Amino acid sequence: MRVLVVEDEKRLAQNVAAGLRQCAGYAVDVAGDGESGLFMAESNQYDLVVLDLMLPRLAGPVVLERYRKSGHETPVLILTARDDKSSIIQLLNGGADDYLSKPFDLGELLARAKALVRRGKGKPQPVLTVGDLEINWADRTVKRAGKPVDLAPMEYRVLEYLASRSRAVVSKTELLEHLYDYNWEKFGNVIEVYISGLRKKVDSNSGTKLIHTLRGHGYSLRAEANGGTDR
Amino acid sequence: MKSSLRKQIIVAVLVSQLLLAMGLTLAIVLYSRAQLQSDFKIMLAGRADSVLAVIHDAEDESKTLILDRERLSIPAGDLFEVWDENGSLIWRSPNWTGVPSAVIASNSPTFQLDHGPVPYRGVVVRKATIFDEEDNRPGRLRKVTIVYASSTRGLDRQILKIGVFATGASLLLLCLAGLFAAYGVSKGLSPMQELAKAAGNVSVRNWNFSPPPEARTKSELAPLVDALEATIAGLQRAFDRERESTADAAHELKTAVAILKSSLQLLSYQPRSVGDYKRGLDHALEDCDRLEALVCGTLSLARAQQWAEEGKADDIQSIDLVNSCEQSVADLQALAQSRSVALRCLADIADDDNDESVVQASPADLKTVWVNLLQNAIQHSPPGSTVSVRVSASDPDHALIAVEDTGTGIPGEHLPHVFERFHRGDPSRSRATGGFGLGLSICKGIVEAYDGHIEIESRDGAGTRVLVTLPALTKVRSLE
Repeated sequence: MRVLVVEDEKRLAQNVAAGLRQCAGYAVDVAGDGESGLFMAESNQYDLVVLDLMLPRLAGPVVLERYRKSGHETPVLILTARDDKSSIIQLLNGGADDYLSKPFDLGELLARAKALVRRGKGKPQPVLTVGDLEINWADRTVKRAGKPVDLAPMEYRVLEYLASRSRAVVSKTELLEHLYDYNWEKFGNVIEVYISGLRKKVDSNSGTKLIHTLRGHGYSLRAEANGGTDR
Repeated sequence: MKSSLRKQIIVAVLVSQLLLAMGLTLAIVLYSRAQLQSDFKIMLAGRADSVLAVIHDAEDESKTLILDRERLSIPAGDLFEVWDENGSLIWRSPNWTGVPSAVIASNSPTFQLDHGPVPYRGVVVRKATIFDEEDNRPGRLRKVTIVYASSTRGLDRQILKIGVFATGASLLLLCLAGLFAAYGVSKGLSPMQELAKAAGNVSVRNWNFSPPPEARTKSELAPLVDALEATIAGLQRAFDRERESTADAAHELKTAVAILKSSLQLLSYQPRSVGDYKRGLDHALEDCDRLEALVCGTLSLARAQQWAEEGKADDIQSIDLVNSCEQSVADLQALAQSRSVALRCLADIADDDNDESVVQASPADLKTVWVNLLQNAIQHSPPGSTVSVRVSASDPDHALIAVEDTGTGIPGEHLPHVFERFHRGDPSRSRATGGFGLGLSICKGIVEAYDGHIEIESRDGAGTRVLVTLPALTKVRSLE
């Protein structure tokens, strides 16, 4: 999952980004003003945008309005130091999905961020099940047939993304786009490495294969084996 | 209980009208009475003449005068007496005992008396006349005195009637005038009532003041409308400003607290190495310093503004501006050197003991102003440039301090707002230098508390000059 944090207060942006990276395992980009925030939000595919309201160059509400007007459906979490209800109502009606008043609890911000990402993917359950595979979004643990599966952080992120789009075919480009932040060089073969690692840990001890490769198209996580051709 | 202005005016109008009506009625009655009395006197004289007309000489030789009663026609109630020159009574009306001798003795032509219960008014007519001129023989000139009185009941009744009529007419007119006054006053005062209502509707929640349009057209109300409008608009601006800066301060404080809180929470979420904890705590301490600086800045701003409103600080003393500026320059040399900026202080005052460079102020306040201005100048100056403070006398009564840099300058669109609280010319840059946009507001607050003036001149990219004018000791002395 990839998150954009638009916040002009550098230290706060750093802390939020660090929290999202360390505690939620998300890839995080940071924008320091409204203009670059809007540009980044529109030119990359994010699973969540965390937006401060008082931003230089382009105010938060304007960023939100333009972002929604250009058709983006990514959940937006507003950070605000104002707590007058009317402006919050206006923001929620204007396309925001949730808000947090400063000073906020970082734990609450992380929980809300995870919940928004889940809902954005149409998966409201805290535990995702694909066949006998269980993925717990909250504490980032994976079980196959009741037995814990130990995954490397990056493997977990690949699996989490595939699970969030379960049954759909996810291309390598999409995976790269959603798993790495702006500062990473994106190489497709890295994904292949993680997928093969995941296969070993998730599928090798079980009769049913869940991770499918559709050659030339991408990957899919699903319980039934129709349409998939394995390597 | 509140008294009604409307009622007061109506009562005043009615009282004055009542007085007028009473005076007019009295005048009418008095005038008519005088007129009627004079008519009455003429009538009495006429009747006395008609008595005279029926007097003639007796046929006998005694030459006494007699009165031909057959020919006399006068009203039945009238009283009269006729005396000849010898003082003998010729005739007296039968129902009368005669005029009191005092009346004759007083020689007054008129008199009043009561005949039984009836008031009478009479005249005394003395006439010399020739009666009975017969056979071409000249008659004798005879002197007679006629006393004639008539009842004044009719006269009194007439006066009473006129009085009653005049009073009645006045009262009727008074009632009509009262109604008209009530209507007129109500109508005349209605713009005032509406104005009061409009002013009453104004509150902290609703600043909308809509005075009735006719109130503006009234010369008595127009100044009130203008004053109210100006006051309400001023109050609204002050409230909005206050609300805005409170919101700004809250925003800054909340953000600073959010940073500190998130730093500590981030540290506590995962087990970390001692080195990580140490780094995290250092970060948190930096956040604390920032928060502290913000709180101190907000408080000194509030203090400066309070002084500007209520008067100055306690430790006022005579301060030489050249010394004061030199001290601040020395304090900031380290910061200037770290940014490779030259910092110098120049004095354009000829004599060191000149009062033109001495002001009455608190040393701490002046230092706050110089340090803030110099820090701003240093932070916005490129390495290798110079920041200078120049102390001079703008006129014999005022000292002028100019803080100049050749730095980045302030874009024109920001210039009008630089003295506003929490204003940051370029947010990213100001934050990088740790500013909150409070420094210039604090300077303005302090300078204005000392009846001084602060202004800023800047060209984008060509440097900034801040000019502070303070009243010099010479002026303070001349005022004393």
